[in-house]
Amino acid sequence: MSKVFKDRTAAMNPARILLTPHPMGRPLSAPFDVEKQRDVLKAGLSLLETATDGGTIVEYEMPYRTGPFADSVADSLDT
Amino acid sequence: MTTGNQHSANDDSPKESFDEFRNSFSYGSRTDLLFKFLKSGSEQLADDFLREFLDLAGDLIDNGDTAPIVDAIVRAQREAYSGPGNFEYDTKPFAILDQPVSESKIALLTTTGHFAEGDDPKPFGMDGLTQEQVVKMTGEFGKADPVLSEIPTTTTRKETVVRHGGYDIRATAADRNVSLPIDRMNEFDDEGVIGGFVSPAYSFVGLTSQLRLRKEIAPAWAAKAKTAGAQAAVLIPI
Repeated sequence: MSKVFKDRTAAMNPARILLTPHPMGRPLSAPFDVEKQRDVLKAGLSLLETATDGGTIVEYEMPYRTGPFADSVADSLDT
Repeated sequence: MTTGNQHSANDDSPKESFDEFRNSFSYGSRTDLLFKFLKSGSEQLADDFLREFLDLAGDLIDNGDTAPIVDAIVRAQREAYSGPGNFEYDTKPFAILDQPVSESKIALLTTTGHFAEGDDPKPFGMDGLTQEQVVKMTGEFGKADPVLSEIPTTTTRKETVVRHGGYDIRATAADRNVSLPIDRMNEFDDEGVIGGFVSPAYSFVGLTSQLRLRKEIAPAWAAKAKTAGAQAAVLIPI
């Protein structure tokens, strides 16, 4: 989720949290940034194997980036 | 040119204070869910942010670099929403995954308000509510029980709808994978990154009665996902 809500989320002590440096409403990426979506999701999934205690917080470091992401836009129009 | 929000030098109507101006972005005359944080933070934060925002907009015109303006928005949102909020828990629920992710069936649950076309969750019994309508109903949503939408993982992007009165839905309306990564999870399933993607995916409007959600509804949803085969879940709060 976005690090915008880090304080509020940490206070709830969920098992594992991955925080992204993204604006509210865009937790994985900008629209059609498929590469970023895959990378963020893999980072979140990896916490299932690497976290050893509840309340584990990891900050995803790579910055939010804006498009256009042309190939993905074309792909999205098909489905 | 004048609008309902503008006041000319000769206008005798009451002048709007800066505090009223910034508050109007949060469910007021200038509602903008990306900038509603202007009300949540201090008046000084709103002042500082708007000055920086305008300055960076000038730079953006010249150099096309969006990174500084995105960073400014994130910093201001984080400051406005700093602090623990209304929910603090001492317990730290945790379970170790019994097998690697590549052998695990993973469920997806988001608070984003997505649903499959033709399967409107009908909040308050009302079918076909628009985004504009639910933005005006946030008070009602905050007191009501959430409705869980089940979205088959074969649902196409065109068949996926999003509606939520609590955040700016533009990005995920353009591409659901911004917050409901069904396409990415299907890819991971095909590639063997995960052992399986549990169908359906789940979504609800997180702007809801939190107490009932925690005590009664969420445990029932967890049981449902487990029955569907989930061994772990990716939760995406918006």
